[in-house]
Amino acid sequence: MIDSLKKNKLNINKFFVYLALHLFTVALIASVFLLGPTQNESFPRLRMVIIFFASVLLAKYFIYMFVSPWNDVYIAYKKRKTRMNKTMIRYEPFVSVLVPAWNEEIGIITTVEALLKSTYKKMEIVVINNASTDNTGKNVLALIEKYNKTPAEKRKIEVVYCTENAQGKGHALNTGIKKAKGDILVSIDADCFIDPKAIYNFVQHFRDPKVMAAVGNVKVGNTDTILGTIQYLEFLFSFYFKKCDSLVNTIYIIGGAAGAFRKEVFETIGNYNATNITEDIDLSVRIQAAGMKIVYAADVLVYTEGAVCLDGLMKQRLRWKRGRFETFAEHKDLFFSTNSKHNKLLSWFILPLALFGELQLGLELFFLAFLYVFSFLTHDYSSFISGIIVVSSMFFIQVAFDGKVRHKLRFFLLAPIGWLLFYVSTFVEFNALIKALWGYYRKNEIKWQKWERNGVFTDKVALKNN
Amino acid sequence: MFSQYMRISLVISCQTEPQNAQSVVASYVSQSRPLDEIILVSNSHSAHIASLLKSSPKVSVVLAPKHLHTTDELHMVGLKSVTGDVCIVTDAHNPLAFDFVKRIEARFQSEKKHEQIGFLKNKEMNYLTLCDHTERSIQERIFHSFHTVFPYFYITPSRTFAFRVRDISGIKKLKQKKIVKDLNILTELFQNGSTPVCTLDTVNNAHDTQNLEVYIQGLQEAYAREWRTFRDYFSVPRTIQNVLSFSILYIKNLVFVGILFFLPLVNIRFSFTLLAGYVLLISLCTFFLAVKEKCLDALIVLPGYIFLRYVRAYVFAEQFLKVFVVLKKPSLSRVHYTIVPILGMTFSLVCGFVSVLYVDIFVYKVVFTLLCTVFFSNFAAQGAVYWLNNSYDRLT
Repeated sequence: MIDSLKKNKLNINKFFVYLALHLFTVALIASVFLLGPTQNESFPRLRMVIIFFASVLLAKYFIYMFVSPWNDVYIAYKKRKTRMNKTMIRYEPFVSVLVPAWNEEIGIITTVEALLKSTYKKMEIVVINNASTDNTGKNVLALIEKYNKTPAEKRKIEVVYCTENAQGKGHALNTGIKKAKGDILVSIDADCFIDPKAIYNFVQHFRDPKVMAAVGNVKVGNTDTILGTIQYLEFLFSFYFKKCDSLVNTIYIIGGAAGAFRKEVFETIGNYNATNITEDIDLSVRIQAAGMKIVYAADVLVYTEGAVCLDGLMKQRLRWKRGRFETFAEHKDLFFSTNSKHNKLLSWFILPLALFGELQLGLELFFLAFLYVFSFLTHDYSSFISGIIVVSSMFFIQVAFDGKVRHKLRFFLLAPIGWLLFYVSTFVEFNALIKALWGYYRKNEIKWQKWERNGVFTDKVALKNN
Repeated sequence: MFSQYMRISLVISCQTEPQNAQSVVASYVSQSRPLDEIILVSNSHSAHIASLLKSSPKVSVVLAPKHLHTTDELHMVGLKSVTGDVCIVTDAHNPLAFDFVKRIEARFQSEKKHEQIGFLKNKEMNYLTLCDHTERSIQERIFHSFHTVFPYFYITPSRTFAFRVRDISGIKKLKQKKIVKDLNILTELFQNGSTPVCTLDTVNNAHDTQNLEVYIQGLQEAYAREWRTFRDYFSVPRTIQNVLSFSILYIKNLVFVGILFFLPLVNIRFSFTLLAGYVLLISLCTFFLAVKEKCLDALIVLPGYIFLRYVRAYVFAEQFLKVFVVLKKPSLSRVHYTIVPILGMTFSLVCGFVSVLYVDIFVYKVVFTLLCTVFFSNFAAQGAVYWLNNSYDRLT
């Protein structure tokens, strides 16, 4: 009863926030028609700088939006070619799914149970308890005991449990790699809910012998709150752009939530770097540096639990940002490289643009403040209107062409206010950038952080999202 | 050299009792070249036509289950009993010209010939049937000429057509579930690489279109069939030429709908100019037809012809909405991936042109144009993915 009351109150609050944001957007657009812009030539240089930064960013987004959908065409073309050549031979390599867990007593059972329901049966699940102080180990052992009591013919997937006392996700994953028997290793976070077809779909991408790693399509599952919705949309954007990166082989981040690798990758470039706080980014960059191919598997759906409070989100982004800087510093030879192994597009365009993006993020709040004041004084809202149109259209395209049409209607309604929602993530990212740079300068240590978990991934929630 | 004797079978579908059953039966049994086999498939078990035909030799009457309604479903039942080399398919409302079978035989003597589409002619003329006949004659002559130049041109199934039995592989095993509902025999032939030929000398007579109501009903049925065929076989053609030819008829009609109904709302002067040009073209065609067929009545059909064009365009659009929107027979995802990309691409192109030509503020012009390009790219990619994923699966 109390829960339902709380939920209703949350929904009402959310409704009013969205309504206010819609009204603000409508008012801004209406003011263009009601108030004629006045000519103002002040601050010409500053305006030129802002236009330059905005143009680079817009050009990047437009190119990504234009090219991204053709990755689906390329994949469909490859599949069709295989079928037409009648070369559809069985491809069933043994897969090891690594699930590192540190104090994940709430989510780990759902994650392992979802993996056990996978349609691909030629696999093992390796759960690595990374020095948990809660009931993670106990819960997993109880689950394994219960699983082992089921009839042998139903027990096609083996579940392996091991412990790693050295704290850190990198250490846990390295232990898992040592235990793993599979030809393909999949890493899944312990707070994720995996689609039953995900492992099968992952494996299909490895039919191409050139593919050495694949990154799954991670979605935020808890979209009941505004913060969850913002994260959902953010993930949607970044994973949509991965399609373009996949087409030209410039993916340099394989998130820990859903990544798959051939075993040769670890034999060639070594295991995870346990000293790096974003071991996944480090590994991905090393794979790229070795000239291997990484693809984006849009059909591998993995639902993760997004941060439920702003503090948690800030900590997460700080870790990501700091890890990215550390990785870039470690692999600086990849920037503007002339090495024949390195992808020139990545080296000369994507990575420098990523740094340029950070620079722009650093200046963005100042630019925004200037634009607001300038627009309100001169009634020239063209930059805002353009921004609203561009962001709304991008929202629309990504929601509409994401492949799954159901459950999307409510996200269409958010398209007009997407530009305002993204201010929250801009603020979080800006905060993370400043702290990361300061921490990097002061050599402060950041640990694998833990935030509040609600354990939203009951089957019901996952089905709703599916 | 003597040509080999060719056994010719006739499959007649009978859903409703024709008013002129006796003349229809007479046209079948008194052909100048007798038929070797006549198979009547009827779902109305007390059909008068069946009793009339039973008195003739070489006739077998197949009683189809009552739940089979469409012409094609009945044809499928009849085709399973066919033993001839060439099969003519028709329905009980169409009497054949007395030399129809003879001409078909002559045509099929050449190994290259595959299918013949019958040329329809109205038997009893009034003003409406004359208009209809003129329009049909012009269209079929244009198709004929066009087909000579572009043999891949897809011809929509007609009421009467003939084909070599061996061209449909496993004809006895054809199941209604496999080939969907209406008029799929020609589509099946089309898939097997045959190119149907429209011939003007194989005439069969039509008896309907006596009044406007019947005419509109007939149009509704025909266009509903065409849209269903389009919907169900959209992804079948393998080559780009086939895709183009398959869709050209539909696009042509949709463009016509646009010109007749929507263009006047946008630019009335331009639409009048177009209409005037069209009327001039029709006048020339009808004049040519009047001379060719020695039928001067054809010269008076012009106003009725234009009126019928409006009626046809209206019914075409109406059936499009009915089949694709109201009935929702295809799965939502199929509509999503077929119609939406086409409409989306068209809309993006139009918006792109509008923003390039009419938007004054530079920033907006750039943003709008780029966005239209992005939308176009996304819609095009969606369509391409759907086609790549489905065309091969549906063929196999």
